[in-house]
This record gives sequence, structure tokens and C-alpha cells, in this order.
Amino acid sequence: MTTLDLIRMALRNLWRTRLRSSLTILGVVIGIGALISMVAFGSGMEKNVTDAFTNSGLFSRITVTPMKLDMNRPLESLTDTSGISVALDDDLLDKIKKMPGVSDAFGEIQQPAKVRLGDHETTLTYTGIDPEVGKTKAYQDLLAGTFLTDDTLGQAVISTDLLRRLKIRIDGEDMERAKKKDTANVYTYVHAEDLIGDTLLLSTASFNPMQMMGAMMGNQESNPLSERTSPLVIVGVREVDHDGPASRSGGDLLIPEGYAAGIPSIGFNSITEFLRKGSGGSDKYATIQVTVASPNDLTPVRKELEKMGLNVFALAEQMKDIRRAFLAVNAVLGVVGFIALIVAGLGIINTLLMSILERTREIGIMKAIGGSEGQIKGVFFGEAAVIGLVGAIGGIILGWLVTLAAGAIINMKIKEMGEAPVDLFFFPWWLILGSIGFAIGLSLIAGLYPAARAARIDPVEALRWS
Amino acid sequence: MAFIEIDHIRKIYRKATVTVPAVNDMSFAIEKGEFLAIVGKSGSGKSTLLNLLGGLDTPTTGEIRFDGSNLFAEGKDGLVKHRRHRVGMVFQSFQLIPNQTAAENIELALAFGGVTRAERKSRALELLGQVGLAERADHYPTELSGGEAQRVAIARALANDPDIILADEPTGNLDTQNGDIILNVLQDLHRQGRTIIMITHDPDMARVAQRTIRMQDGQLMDTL
Repeated sequence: MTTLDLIRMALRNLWRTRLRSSLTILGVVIGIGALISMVAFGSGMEKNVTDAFTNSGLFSRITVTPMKLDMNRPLESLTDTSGISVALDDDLLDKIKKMPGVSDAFGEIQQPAKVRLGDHETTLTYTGIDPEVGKTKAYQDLLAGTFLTDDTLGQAVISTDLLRRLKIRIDGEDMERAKKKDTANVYTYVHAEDLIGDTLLLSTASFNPMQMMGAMMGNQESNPLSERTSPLVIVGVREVDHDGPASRSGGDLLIPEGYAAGIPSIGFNSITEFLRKGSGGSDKYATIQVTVASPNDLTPVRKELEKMGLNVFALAEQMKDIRRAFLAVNAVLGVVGFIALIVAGLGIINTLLMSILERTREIGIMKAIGGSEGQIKGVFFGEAAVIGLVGAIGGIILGWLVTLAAGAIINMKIKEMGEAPVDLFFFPWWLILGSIGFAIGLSLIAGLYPAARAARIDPVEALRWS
Repeated sequence: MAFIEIDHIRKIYRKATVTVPAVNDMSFAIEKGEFLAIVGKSGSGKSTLLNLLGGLDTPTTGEIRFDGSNLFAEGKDGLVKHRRHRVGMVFQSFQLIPNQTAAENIELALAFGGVTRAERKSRALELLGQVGLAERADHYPTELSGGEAQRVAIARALANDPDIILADEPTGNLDTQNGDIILNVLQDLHRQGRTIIMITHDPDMARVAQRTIRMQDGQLMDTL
């Protein structure tokens, strides 16, 4: 009696009771299908998020901000500069650039401002950035034009999101549909190329302490804040995915750092910054972006920066938490699928027990003509295994079809909203192989009791059975 | 030392509160190549004795020795080997597996006996030829007459070339004509040197045996 014999016998016996067998197999198909589509959904989400991070190059990025702001500390200590006050200026930038493991570092100036293009205006935080930064991976998302070319000129790279806030939409493949939905004609539709060379007006506020007294005295004419408007030439348009990790405040409007330094501004972004102004050095930059040479350099560089008293944020480290969160999501999704499989397992037990009852006499005959308990167990294990294998293959196909259909429907909706379609489901190889192994394993476990029961049947009794 | 020694064998069934001694302290011997008939009323313990000889059942006390070794000494493994290679069983109701053809029924016994797949088919056809049913190889049990089904069952009993054939009322479900055919087949097997132990209630059938023993209430009454 070889394994092949057992499988042939199993197929035959299952075929004999086709309806019951196919219903049992259907149970496994649904169980595996549920498990697979659930886990594929979780894996798809995880993959989308991690891929987005990886592609954005943010994994090798450390963002440095002035100081650790400990909310539990009394406010006075914020001005306590001992050991923690390191100004984000060019000296620091040079120092960071020379640190081992750092491949590049650049500073970013960030200020709140108002922008105007055509008839519409909006407020935002703009970023002053070194034009050299345009070479890095994070800024390879230009729809039209170029990145900033000259550090001293009034140039601007704007995002589609900013344009949308300015009631301008960029002509794309879903233009017609977007136009149709835009029944109130709120938006102006243009080609990205047509915006290049247009002038954007940037209004910033500056602070004049001399006027402060007058304002406090109740003089309506004395406003300590004055507004200055600078014209900027649009050189590039970026597609910024605001759901993606590349989105950061300030990314909607990029201007050359050198030029930004010349724009009169309020000089500080927050109360803490303001409070520190008198005591420590002056922060030239709102943030310093550090790129490490390899992911392995990330932790040592981060620790070194923290030692310098800087506030450090590395997305790669957040990724551990994100992965842990996805592990939990996948586990929950897996459990739901698992329950479906348990039900399928009960179906297998039921079917096999029925089949044993019907074939009691046959089992007696097999024993009488030389079948051992092991071989009789094998016959029923064979049936369980075939149910499991066929069910797993069917379940994978079902799961795949379900996710295909669900993905198509969801992407249809996403397209209607004018967004790019996404692959919501992901079938890693371990999921396919794992679920086949799991289904067969489960079937064999389900077969344990029936097979043992079949093997224990008393042949004398069984042969009397009619 | 006789070929088969039945030594103070006792089989007691416990059903609820009643204990029924189906075989009650039997001792006798069977010689190699003997054709033995066992007669007795129903409930006399004939079938229980035959099941014990076939290794389908185990005794409450006592031994059955084949060539001097106790059949029940090696536990389940010993019984499986015994059923597989030393005895072939034939039943009143044929006991063929209904969804398998004549040839497949025999092939299953060959598979249990460890015959390779390639050999099984030709061996099965050869065995069917021996009982004159080569052309019925692909028929299912329901398509065979009672006599044919019993001949298939005998061919199956012969699958692993046993020395002993145990037949429990092999002609009980057959008409006289078919009964005679089966009896002839058994006589042929006897002539080939096999030991035949046959249960029957028909004195005419018992007449072909070399020795007939009569059982009553689980005990050996007399030898005819």
C-alpha cells in the first residue's frame, strides 16, 4: 500500500459521494479564501505603506529640530540653555555634514506666509531649501519645469495640492471626469507646463518691536506686524501625495534658501523659539534634514545628534512601530480567516465520520483481507488530505478572484475621486504556500479522530454490519 | 506437533450484564493439508472459532498455535501478518467491496500484501482465471451472480497465497448448483495442498471434508 494507492483510493471514495465531498471541500475553499483575502489585504496595506516609505528615500533620513521640548518641564526651563541649546545654523550644518555616516545634510527655513496666484489666495508654510537638494530622491516628483536652479533668485516650486487650494487643477488623464463633477465650476483647468514662468505673490509678516509700544498704548496706526510681498517665478510643479509619507508641512511651496533668508519675516515659528531667541544662538533653520549613507548608519548618527542636544526624528525608527501595528492588523485579519477554517475543519470531521459509518463493513473487509490499522487510518487521512489540498487550491483561486473583484471596485471609486489606483491586495509567496500547508495540516488534524475511530473498528462486528 | 493447535481456547462476550461464552474451553488439532468441516447449530460458536482462527478476534483465554507459535503472542502486528499471509477468508455474504470491480477487490488484498502496483493487475487476472472468471474482471459485485461473487471472494482469499482457507458457510447464500461449484473450487484448493476449514450446516457439504467436528454451546461435541 503506497501513498499513491491511498490517494487514488481517497479520490475514488470522495468521488463516490461527490455532493457531500464537494460541499465539504467548498467549506475549506471558503475558509482558505477568507483567510487568504484577509491576509492579502493586510499585507497589501503594509506593502503600500512600506513601499511608499522606501521609495521616498525617507528611510535614510533624519530630521533635526532645535531642541527637545519636554512638556512636563516647567516653562522657565525652556530658556535654560545649559547643554541643550544648539542653534540650527550654518556652523551646526557644517558639523553635521562632517559627521561619519552622514552622506548629506541641508537646512530648511520655514515660515508662515500668504500666497496669491491669479484671483485666489491661501496661507501656508513655505520652505527655504538649498537648490542642490533637488537632486535627492524625495524631490524627483516634478510634473513640469525644473527644481530650483539658483539660490539667490525668487523662484518657486509649487505642489498640485497648493494649486488646488488656489482653485487650479492640473490637466491629467481624469480631467474629463473631474470637470464633470466640478458642476459649480470652482476650478480652472490648466496644463502644468503653462504655469511655468507665472508669478506667484508671497506675502510675509515681519515684526517691528518699535511699533509694539504704540500698539500697546492703543494707537490704531501702530501695528507691530507689517506685511511684505515678494514676487516669485514658478519654475516647477510637483505632484505631492498628501496621503504619502513624503508629505510634510512646508512641502507645498519651495523657494531657494538664500532668497528665503532675505525675506523679512517674523523670525520665529513658535513661542519656544521666541523665548530662546534672547538666551542662546539664533536658529537660522527650522529643520536640518540629514541623509545617512546607509540604513545601518541611522541609529549611530541619531544617537550622536541626540547627544548634541538636538531633537531628532527618524521615520525608519517609527517604521518599527508601524510594522508592529501591521502585525497586529494581520493577526486580527488572520484570526477571522482562521475561524472560517475551523468551521471547515468541523465539516471535514463530520464528513469523514459519516463516511466511516457508511463504510463500516468495508473497513471490516479491509481488515479481514490484511489491512492494518495504519493502512486504514491512511485511507481516511488520504481523504482528509485530498479535501485539504483541493480546498486550498480552490481557496487560493477564490481568494484571488475576490481580491481582484474587490480591488477593481475600490479602484473604480478611487479613480472617480481623481486619485491614482492602488494595489490593495498583496499575495506574498509565504501566504500561498502557507495556506496550502495550513489547509492540509488542518484537514489531517480534522482527520485524526475519524481515522483513529475507523482503525479501531472491530472487524467481527463490522462484517456483520449491513 | 500438529500444524494448528487449539489449546483451551475460550471466548466470552460481555453484553450489558450477561456474559455469553461463545467458545468455551475448546482444544483440538488440525493437520496440515486437512479439509475440516465444522458443523453445529447457529449460536454454537462456530463463527467465533473461525474468527479466532482467522485472527479477526482474540480469545479471552487460551492459545491457538500455528506451527508451534501462538497467534496472539505478537499483538496486533502478528494478527495483521497472519490475516495477510497465512489465511484467506471466505464469507457467506461474500464481503466484496461494492464500488470496486472484481479485479480491484483482489488488487486491494494484493496491495495490503505488499505487491507492487505493476504486478497487481496481472496477478488479479491470473487469480480470476483460476476460478474461471477472467472475463468478469471489470464487473462490479452487483453485476455478478452469487456464485460468481463467491468465486471472486475465493480468488481474493488466495491473493497472498495463504496455506489456510477459512470459509464461513461459503455456500449458505447460494443455490445447489452454485454451491457445488464453490465446493469444487475448495476441493481443488485442498488438492493443491491447502488446509481448508469450512463451517457449514449442510451435512451434504460436510461430506466432502476429511473430518467433521460438531460444536454445541461453544464446545466440541464429537468428531464425525
